[in-house]
Amino acid sequence: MKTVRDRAYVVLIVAAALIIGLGIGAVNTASAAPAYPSKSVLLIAPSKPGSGFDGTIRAVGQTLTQEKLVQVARPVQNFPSSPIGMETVVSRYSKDPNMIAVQSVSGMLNYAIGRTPYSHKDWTPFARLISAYYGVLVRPDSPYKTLGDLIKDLKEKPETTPISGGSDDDRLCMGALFSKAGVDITKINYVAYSGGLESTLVVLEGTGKAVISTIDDIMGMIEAKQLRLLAVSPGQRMQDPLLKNIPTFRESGVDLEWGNFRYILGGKEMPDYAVKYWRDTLTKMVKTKTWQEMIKKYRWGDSFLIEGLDKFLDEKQASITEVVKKLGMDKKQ
Amino acid sequence: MDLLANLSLGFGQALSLQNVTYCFLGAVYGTILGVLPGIGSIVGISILLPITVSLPPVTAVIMLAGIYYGAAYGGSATSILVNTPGESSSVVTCLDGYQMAKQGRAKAALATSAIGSFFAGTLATVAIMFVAQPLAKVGIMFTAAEYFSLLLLAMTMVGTLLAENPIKGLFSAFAGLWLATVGMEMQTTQARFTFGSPHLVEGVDFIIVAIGLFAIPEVLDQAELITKYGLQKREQVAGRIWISYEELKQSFMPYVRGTILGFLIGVLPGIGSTPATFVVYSFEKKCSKHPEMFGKGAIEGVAAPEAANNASNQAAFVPLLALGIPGSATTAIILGAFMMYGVQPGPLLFAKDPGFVWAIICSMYIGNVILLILNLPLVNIFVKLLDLPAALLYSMVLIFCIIGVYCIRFSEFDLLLMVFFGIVGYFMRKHDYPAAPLLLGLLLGDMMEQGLLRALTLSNGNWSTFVTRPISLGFLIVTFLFLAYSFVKYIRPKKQPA
Repeated sequence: MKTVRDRAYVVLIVAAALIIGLGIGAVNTASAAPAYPSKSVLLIAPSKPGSGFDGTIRAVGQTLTQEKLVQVARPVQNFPSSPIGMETVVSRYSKDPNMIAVQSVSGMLNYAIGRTPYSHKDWTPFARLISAYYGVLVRPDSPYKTLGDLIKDLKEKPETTPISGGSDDDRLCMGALFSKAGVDITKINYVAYSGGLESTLVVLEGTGKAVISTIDDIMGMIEAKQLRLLAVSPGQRMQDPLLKNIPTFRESGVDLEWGNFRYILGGKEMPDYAVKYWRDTLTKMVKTKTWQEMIKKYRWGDSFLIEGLDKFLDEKQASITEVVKKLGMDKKQ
Repeated sequence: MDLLANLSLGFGQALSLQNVTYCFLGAVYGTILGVLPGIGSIVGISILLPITVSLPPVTAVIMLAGIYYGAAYGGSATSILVNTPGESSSVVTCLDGYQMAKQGRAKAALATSAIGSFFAGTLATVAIMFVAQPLAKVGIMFTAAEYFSLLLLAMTMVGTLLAENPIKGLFSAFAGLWLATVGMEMQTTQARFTFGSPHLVEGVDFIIVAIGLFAIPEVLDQAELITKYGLQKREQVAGRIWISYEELKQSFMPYVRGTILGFLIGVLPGIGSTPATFVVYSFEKKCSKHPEMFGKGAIEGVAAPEAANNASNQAAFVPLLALGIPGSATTAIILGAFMMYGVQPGPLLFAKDPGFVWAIICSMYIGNVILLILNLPLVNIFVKLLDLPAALLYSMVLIFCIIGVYCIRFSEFDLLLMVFFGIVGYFMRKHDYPAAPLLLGLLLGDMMEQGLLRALTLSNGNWSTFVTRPISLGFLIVTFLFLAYSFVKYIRPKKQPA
């Protein structure tokens, strides 16, 4: 840098490069509308690897890639927990057209308990994809033959009828089910574990009298006849050969259908063209053979829904908040 | 059960070129990640999961398992060399391993760690073959009350970690127990000490505290030394040729005890390898003829926990393969992976797909051999790191701690937490508050509380459940005897002059 003039040239060149670069960037963004998505899409699973969210969004990613519908980025971005994950989604990706994430009943539960300030109104749900259903199980030698038997004991002697299950959505299902059945759920001795499988141990041992769990988590136990199903939570009977003879909650006398559904979403201020694109793409995706095989593999229920999704979510959130209040899960001491 | 037929079935699959290669790759990758502070098998496996989906299921699981034990081997290296735990289960190795390194016996420490891991891993695999099913049945008998009583026993062993400062040690232990309460409590969904932030809802991460209490103060101490005495090339005390026969002999019984105890603890679902290492360390100290050497470079203090580490990691596969229930956090991810590969975990797995299960078991043997072959030469390479000037070495340690902790969950909050505990750890050191009891409290506190709450929920508030259930009563009696014995020993010396 010998003279001031030389330096001035350098500055000019750098500035020009910056302006051109920004210009290209701007043009790219502007022309992204017709050529969307212009880069690989980021998949966010607001939970740890190996969890339900994670499995779902990976399945979506795999299907999209295999059916050559969308180019997705790898790897899936995980978060330690749903509240932390959704906080990032809301704060960083609200306007980003290239991010999609997955949510479910647990997000609604977190909102109802107060673990997160964000609800489904803070992002744009595209489509509900799948439902996972719950079952009430007992040891094969248990005296309970129907759900009604269990409910009777829960009403008459809850102190000696402890139930186990997962800490979040299983507990929610328990609350919804038994409060609808007329049991005083504040008297139920519910023992919470971090996973469906862990919660079966206390029932296998005998001290726990029944366990509530997502069915796909404990299919292995059902197959091995280590546990017996009393009832399942969907509106109609399940199709799997091992499950088709199990009565639903409704058939067992409790007018309730319950499931943990998962839906795909984008940022709250995601551009309209992006939202429309995703709705169309997901509609295509669920019809593909790859996706149908995924559902079979994981034993999910195909519950694709776009029309009326917002209403569904609002209603679900309301019933969840109601159960949470009844269970006292939102109380701060 | 035709054992030979099963073994040949398993080895037949496991010894395929593809499977051995992937096992090797997994082991190498796992070792590297284990060395990186804060990152262990959990993060390592999560990152590779999507890639493994394209592999045949057996190969994929073999690779994941390779990462699992590789991380255990790797984590010990940094614990020994620079007092920085590479993973939670390597924390205890810092206590004596680092002291050994400071005395110029780093090679012996690393060697005993590798050999002990191999010994334990191999024995554990044999055990799995024979006792998986019956042990799993025993495991089922353990419910909340038993967990509580067992962990209470483990907590009382903290007495052996108190050394010269019982009051300060107890303070640390209770501080650890308090720290364990931070986060959302599962039975009541009450958030405690989270200050409204979502970052503390899961509690305080053990490995972050461990790095804060062990690694950071060491870095600061070294900085202080450099400030006082100036930059010096590290005085490498003439390292002995590798490990002596004498030291191997000393390590043998610790290997045995560590393996057995570690395996038994690891079989229990929910209790991972880290508590096993603490318990085994304390137990080893109790069994030792020279307990005062522990904490000052006793080789048994490295040999036993390292063996326990591997034994418990493999024991975690017992509930997984026999019942489909994960025995530790890492096996929980592997379970998720099973489902991604289309394998249905559960009690029927052995019966429905014995080839799969036996291939995994046989790959454990292969994995252990690979890791031994990999790690013994690495001893010499690792020790070369000690030739670096302290300023450079410890700066690198600090950088790797930052990278490693951040990579746990990509959270800046975790870094702040590490710094916070680093400062706490520094002051603890200056005032002789031992760190190990705090870590033990933190580790066991949550599980103990869950055991207590669940047991009381199951018994409808009846406290007698802890003594009416036989296994629980057994643990409580042992705890009581242990405390009584320690107390008597404590007051006895005072009586003698009289």
